[in-house]
Amino acid sequence: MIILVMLVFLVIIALEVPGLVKEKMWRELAAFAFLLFFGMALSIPQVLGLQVPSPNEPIEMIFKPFAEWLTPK
Amino acid sequence: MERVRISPLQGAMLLVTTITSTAIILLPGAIAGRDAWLATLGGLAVGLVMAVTISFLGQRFPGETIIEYTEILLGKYIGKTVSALFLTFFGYLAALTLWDFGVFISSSLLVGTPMMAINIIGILVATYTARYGLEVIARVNQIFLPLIIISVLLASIIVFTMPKTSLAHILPVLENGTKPLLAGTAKVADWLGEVIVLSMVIPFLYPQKHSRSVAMVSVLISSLILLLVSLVVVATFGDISPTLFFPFYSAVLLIEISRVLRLDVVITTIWIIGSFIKISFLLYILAHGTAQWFKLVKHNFLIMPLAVIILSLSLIILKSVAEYQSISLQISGYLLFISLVLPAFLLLTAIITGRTTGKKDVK
Repeated sequence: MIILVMLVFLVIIALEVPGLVKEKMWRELAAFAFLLFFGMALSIPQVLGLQVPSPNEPIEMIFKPFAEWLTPK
Repeated sequence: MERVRISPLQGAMLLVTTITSTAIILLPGAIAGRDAWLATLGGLAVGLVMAVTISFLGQRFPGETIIEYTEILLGKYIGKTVSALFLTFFGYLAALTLWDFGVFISSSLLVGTPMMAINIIGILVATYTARYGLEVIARVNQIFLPLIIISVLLASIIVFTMPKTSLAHILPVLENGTKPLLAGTAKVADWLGEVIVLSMVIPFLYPQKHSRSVAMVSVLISSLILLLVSLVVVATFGDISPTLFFPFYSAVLLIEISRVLRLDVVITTIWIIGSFIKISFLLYILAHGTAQWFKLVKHNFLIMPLAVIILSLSLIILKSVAEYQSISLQISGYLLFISLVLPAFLLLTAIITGRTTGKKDVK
């Protein structure tokens, strides 16, 4: 499974990076790398079976008063 | 950036698909029970406010997207932070839509298939489409939206003609007080708040002067569709509709015309097409916005990394339907904060500081 995920990332890099390097778009390459690392940080722990915190946790905390105000007692 | 132009009609159709495709199935107003139709009307009022805010901002900054004019209005650092909030919102919405898609297919059609497999297929198709750009998505949508609307209308009419369905079920009005109605209004409004994606599309609209009618009309049509669907659901199920996760789907499952059964396939088709267009559209907007945030000259190469992020998020965002139902109001709060409070704040800042990029020619 982990090999498959790495393969997907390699395919994405192989498809996009050569074009960017050829046109010397370093700023674009940096943004691409940043997003790709973010994607890796989200997906690889999941494949390894680790718990990844959901983005809903902060939302749940911040907007709890709003939801409670709307919930009938 | 590449030259992209879509007509106001295409823009409005894209917005209607974005709003209604998931709303028809999940039916946000259903939380209000019998008052779902009232909640839809309440949501419409809030939705129109959001549409007007977005289009006023669009008129002040005709050539810029919300990512760009947030920075013009609030300065570099605060502006970047706030526009990052908008970007995370688009990403969150895409992930949530993909999750909805996976959950619906894996609980109605492909029971037992892991959600991951369904989501991967969904995001693959969406990535492929998003790479071809906004014009392609808009044209695909022009073909499919009429089909979606016609099948919803047909399904609704058939459900209404069934013997057990009765509009008398919408009475009594407000039987549990105003709280359920307010909750329903908030949920409908959070769906209509997706009109905020228009702020990313306004620079591509040509001719641009119609952007306000695009916003208003799409919110209006979406609410009319939601109103019809919520009437169908309440007329069929009465006050048990809040307990159903896919109320309209359950209503259509009941259809039985002599030997014709299982018309729910129609609804599933709507769902698959609608979610696919919605995810591609959000993915495109997210890539475009991210490119503007980083001040890049192209955005196509960002689509695949973003698709990976959305896919991974969609698998962790919610564990179960029950979890969604328990925190759906918190999610509404978040969506409303981004689509109602922030744009209103931006518009206020624009009016006070008098900043505008004026009558610039459409790029």
